[in-house]
Amino acid sequence: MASATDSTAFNAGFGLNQNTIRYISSVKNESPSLLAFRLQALETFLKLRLPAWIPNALPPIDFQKLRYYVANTQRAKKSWDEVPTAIKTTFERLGVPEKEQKFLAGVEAQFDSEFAYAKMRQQLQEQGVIFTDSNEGLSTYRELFEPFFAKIVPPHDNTFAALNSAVFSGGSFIYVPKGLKVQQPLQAYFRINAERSGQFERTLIIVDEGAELTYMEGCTAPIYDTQNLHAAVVELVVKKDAKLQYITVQNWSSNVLNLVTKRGWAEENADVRWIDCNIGSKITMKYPGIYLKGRHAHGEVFSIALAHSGQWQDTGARVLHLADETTSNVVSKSISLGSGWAGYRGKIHIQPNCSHCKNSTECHSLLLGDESRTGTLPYVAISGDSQSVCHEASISSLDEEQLFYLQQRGLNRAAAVSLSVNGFVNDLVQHFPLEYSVELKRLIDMEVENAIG
Amino acid sequence: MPLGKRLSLHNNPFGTWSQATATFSFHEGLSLIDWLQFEPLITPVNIRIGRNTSVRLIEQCHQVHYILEAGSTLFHFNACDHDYTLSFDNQGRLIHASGIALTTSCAVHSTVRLQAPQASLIWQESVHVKGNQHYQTTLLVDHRAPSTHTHCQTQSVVDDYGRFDLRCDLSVQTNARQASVEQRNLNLITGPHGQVSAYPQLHILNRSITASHGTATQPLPADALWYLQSRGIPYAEATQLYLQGFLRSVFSTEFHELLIHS
Repeated sequence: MASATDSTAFNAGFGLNQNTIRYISSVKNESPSLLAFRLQALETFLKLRLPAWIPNALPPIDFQKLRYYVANTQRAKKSWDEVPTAIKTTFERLGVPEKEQKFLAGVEAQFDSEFAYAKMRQQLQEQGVIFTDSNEGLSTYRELFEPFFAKIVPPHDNTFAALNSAVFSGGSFIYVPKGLKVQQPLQAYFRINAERSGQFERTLIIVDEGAELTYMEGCTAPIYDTQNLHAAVVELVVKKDAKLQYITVQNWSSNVLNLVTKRGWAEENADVRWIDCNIGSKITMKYPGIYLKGRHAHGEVFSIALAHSGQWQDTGARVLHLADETTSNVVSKSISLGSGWAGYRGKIHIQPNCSHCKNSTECHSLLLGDESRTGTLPYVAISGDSQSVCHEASISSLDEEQLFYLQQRGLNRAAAVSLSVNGFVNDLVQHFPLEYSVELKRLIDMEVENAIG
Repeated sequence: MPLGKRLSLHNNPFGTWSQATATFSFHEGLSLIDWLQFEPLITPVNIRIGRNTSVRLIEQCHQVHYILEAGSTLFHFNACDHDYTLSFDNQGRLIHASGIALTTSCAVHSTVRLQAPQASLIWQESVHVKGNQHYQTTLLVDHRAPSTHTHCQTQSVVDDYGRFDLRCDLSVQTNARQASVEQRNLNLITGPHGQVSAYPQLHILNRSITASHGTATQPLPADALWYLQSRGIPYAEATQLYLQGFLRSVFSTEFHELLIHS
């Protein structure tokens, strides 16, 4: 597939230095304070080292051989007719406009570094819902955006958070006012199209007291021989009595390094749920986090990871209990095909001086290939005599008797394995909206049948 | 002090000592049913248990490397509350137990390599961490041969201001087909400032295995204590009874006679 060339309207060129940052900031017409923030983040990035636990599967990244800003548009269009044809065709093939018509409350479609399209139903706009990109959030809705921007995931949090803080572009800003329950989901779709480039969207979602929201994101990219990098940051703020469900279906191509930092704050009686499905990319390292900051706050992480040959899906969850009577639930299902590695890496931490907190974590792994591999690497730290925490994990391959039973009923081996794998993940897939659960099942079927033959 | 015949490594009727390699080798074919206790040693020592030999040992040393040959069985008990390092090259059957009531903080590091088909490990560890003490235990188990088996259970009671850290790393290599791995950790925290951290890991490189692990930390169960109190047992005594039962429940019958005396 043709990659972005000099014909793109905005192109920062290869390499990462202060000039790259200045170029991005000038194209976006940002304030001097935001430029200063970016430059400071770049300094932090250059000083930070990768942590020792990073798996060897992460290949060395030559940050000077990537492009950090590539865009054809600066502002998202409000109508698909206004979107450049090549971009529009890409999203039509992915079914995005069709889903928007059928059941979504709003859609943003990001192509490389900027949104090509963004629209929300009129009714929600009138009710005060804000659904725009992060740059507009910073400029037009500053009083809402700024108190939380880079507070939940500060630049010094980790290397890729620092990188994102320096070069971020795109990503959603969503605000749901008090008491409003948004019935239909809002969706963002991310597409990396340029070769040897990165996508560094920064998403901030604020759900005000008593409000409810479901947000979904999907991602794809064409296959290149060279690396693409996706280092996004997602920050969620869920205020008292509010609920937020954040669903991701990640199907990047096999040359994408997917290194994402996602974290949410849950205040008193709030409910945060991450539903994370990782099927694509060369290596994914993603551990959705929840800080339970208010009494009775609740967090859940449901994760499905599927790795075929050549893939490394390093996923999990990170939950910090920072207040009394907080609860959390983590369920992770990993499937390894061929020589893939899909595993769980997690942390559950209950602070001293918290009381009556509860956590339950379950991890299950399925190994389907002769060279399939997995690992379960939880860390649990508890203080106090009133907490209840339990973690369990199991690893096995499919039961041959079960497969024989299905084949005896006329299914071929690939279909029998596919059915068993879908049964394995069924309890998590049920949490997806129906249209997505059907698509997810289809994707899993395709991956399994390719691996089994 | 648990039961056990105290022995020196030198002039020992059950084996031979090599000063050059610091190795004590049990005679092959022995089947000892009494517990033996070597004199405490600070310097590293190797202990070899030959083919078809069955031995029961109480550990008091600081750094020991065990070599279990095919067909051998070692019942290994540790009750010392000081830092120590154990390693096992295991081609036989190893049943380990340690039951410790801490009087001082200590760190224990144990490594087990299962190197022959059918080699097995049963690991039972129980510790009562008293106030201000810190117990750190690290267990690394590596399955390197087919049909190897590990069952590992660790339990702790952590009093107020005590701290228990567990790291348990279980690996199954690519050639360890049909291996089975099971690891369990249960902890009770009895005071508001007690701390537990658990870091159980599974690294699996072969698909024809079954593996599971779990860790759970709970407060003292109110139902169980109420049951004992309803039978006329005062609260303090009921708590002690429950905790003793909890700590001892991890041990298999081979170690019960030692627990009576410990």
